[in-house]
Amino acid sequence: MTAAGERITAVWQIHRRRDGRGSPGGRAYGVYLIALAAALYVVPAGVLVARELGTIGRQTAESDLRPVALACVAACWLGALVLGRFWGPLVMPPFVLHVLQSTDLPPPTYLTRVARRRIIGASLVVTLLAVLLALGINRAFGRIDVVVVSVASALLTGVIAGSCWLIGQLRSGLVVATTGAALLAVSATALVVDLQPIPLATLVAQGASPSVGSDVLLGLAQLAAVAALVGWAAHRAIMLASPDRLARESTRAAQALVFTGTGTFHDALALYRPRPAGLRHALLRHDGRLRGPVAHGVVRALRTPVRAGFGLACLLAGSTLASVGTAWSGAADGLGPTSTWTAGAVLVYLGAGWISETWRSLRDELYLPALLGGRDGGAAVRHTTWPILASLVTGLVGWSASHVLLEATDLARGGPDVAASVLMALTVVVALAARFLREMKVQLPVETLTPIVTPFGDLSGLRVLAWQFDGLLTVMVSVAVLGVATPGSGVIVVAAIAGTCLWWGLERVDRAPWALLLRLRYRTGRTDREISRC
Amino acid sequence: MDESTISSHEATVQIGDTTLLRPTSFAALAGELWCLTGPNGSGKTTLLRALGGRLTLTAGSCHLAGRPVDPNQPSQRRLLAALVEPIPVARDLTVAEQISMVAASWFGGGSESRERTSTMLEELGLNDLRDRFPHELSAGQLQLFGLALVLVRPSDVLLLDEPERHLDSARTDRLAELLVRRTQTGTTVIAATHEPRLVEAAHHRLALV
Repeated sequence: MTAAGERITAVWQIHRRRDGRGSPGGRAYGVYLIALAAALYVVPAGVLVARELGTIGRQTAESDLRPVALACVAACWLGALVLGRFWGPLVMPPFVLHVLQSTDLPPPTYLTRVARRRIIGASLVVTLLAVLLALGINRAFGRIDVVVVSVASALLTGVIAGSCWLIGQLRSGLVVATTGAALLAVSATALVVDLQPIPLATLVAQGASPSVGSDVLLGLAQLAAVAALVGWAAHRAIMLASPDRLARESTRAAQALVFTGTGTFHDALALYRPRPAGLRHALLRHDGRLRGPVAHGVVRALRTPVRAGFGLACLLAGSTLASVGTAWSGAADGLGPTSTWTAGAVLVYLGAGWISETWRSLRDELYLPALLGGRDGGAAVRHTTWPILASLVTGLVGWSASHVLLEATDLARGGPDVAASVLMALTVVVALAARFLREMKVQLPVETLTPIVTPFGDLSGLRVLAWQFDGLLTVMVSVAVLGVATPGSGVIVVAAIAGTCLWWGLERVDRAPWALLLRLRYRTGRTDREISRC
Repeated sequence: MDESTISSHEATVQIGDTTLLRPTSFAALAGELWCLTGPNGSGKTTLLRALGGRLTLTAGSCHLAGRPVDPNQPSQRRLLAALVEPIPVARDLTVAEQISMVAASWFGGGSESRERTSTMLEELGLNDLRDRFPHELSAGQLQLFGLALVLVRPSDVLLLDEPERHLDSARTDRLAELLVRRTQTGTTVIAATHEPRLVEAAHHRLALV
């Protein structure tokens, strides 16, 4: 029998050759689209960030930068662990995986090289971003010692992130949670004791005057030890990989790619929603009647506890950040307040996913043929009570938390004022409206694919991209508009945006919104003729 | 000493009160063609899945080369090839490329791999379809393609679930001849089938009820 390495190489060579099918023109068009998107979005954002980074390095005190830098590093590691749960480095084409799994080769022989290649790639991306960020703040591109230590530290940070990515995919939830807690502890160590296990954060925290001392070098050694430990754990995880789980994840990823390629990214994301479990009889009272809309929402959320936990955390963090951002932007200008506000709005939008499951039901109720027959109306109440109540409670908690945070950081004395509180509430409303718009999505409208002929070529691809992320774009544009509006005009702007989202959302289920509103108000069992008569 | 290549002893599968497979025993020797017959729901596919280690038995046991079936053992994966569950074919690779990929996973990228691919395409009458993508195949052609993916690799035991599915009579005859030829080289074939021609060609028949 041929050597294992040669067999694996032969399989991947055949698979790679299929990529050669694209015509040179097709490949050039792909490169052109990427270059266009980079020129339109990435380059302006990069220039803006680079300009702001230098300001941060000069103007911010070391004590303020250190926790932020450490939080960024910890978020990178934890994010890699979470990403691995959904899309790990060992996700590969299902057929290739099937072919390799059907052989007599031990799984580590074909998994290790794939994992190594992808982890190295991910580590290099993290390294590049971290180095650019650190040196952008330090403005120390000419200092060899700082550059070398920054690169070494960023590389080790990247290796840990890459290893976390693999551990997140292959190990159990308990092991992943333990690894996350341990890495969080490593990050927190730099704050509470006189150790510097993340020298990159130390250099960043030193702002415009970085210095490579013995403490930084000692920190580098500590980080190397952590990287070795996590790397060993990742290597061991490959030995424990479950073939069935890998096959399931690869199949799901292949389906998601097809959905993404055909313009229905929301369907791809739907594949990653957790399956509900438990509380099988909680929606029914003892006498068999259905419980109310609040109980309905709570039970549905608790049937996917991990998602509910993340959603709740996002809503709380988002409300807090939005409140901090609005109050901070009233006290100071710059990228910091705007970024905080935008991040808060985006987090509220993302966190609203777990409370807006009921809007998916509403969409299906309106879009699909009637299944349950006529019954008394009240769909609007059934489908809005829980999302509004949940976002109201989390918003209030977040608003209260922002008081503490603003007092502690001295960003805005006395906490958020009335104007800031109104803007924060409007931000939450906009995020919910955008979520409604997103949840009512059904099929990609055909007219979205019609060409947009410009001197730069056909830009319909950008319109499809905008359609796919319309909720997110709505949130970001709304925050930008609110940023320049007064609280009074902000209410009008938000009412207009929310109304538009509601209207477009209802239009997406392919019916006239007026008729739908009547249908929501009256008996759901009415015929279309009755509705049109109304 | 048990000389059977693959066997089951009182293999039983139950889910709750439902019996998917009644206690079933058999022992197939090297070079034998066994046909599993019986009405729908009698447990043919369940037995094949259990023999392939894809299903946990409620009672009894299944053995491959004298050891309990365990697909996690590389040595057992070397012995056993199966077309019981759908294969996740690649939509962007042609028929010939996918068959050659399976061959390459066993024999590398050399001439042996190419020869085996050509032989398999020839034997199953897929030569004219070699450059087609899976979505360009009919149901019968897809079945032949699936069979080619399983037959191109080396194996001592072949598990096939209704290999005659979607095939016309001429291709079913060709398949029966091919399976008999495989048994002559020492391969044990276990096929669940409703096709009389395959049952006629078999050395043994195991009727499930």
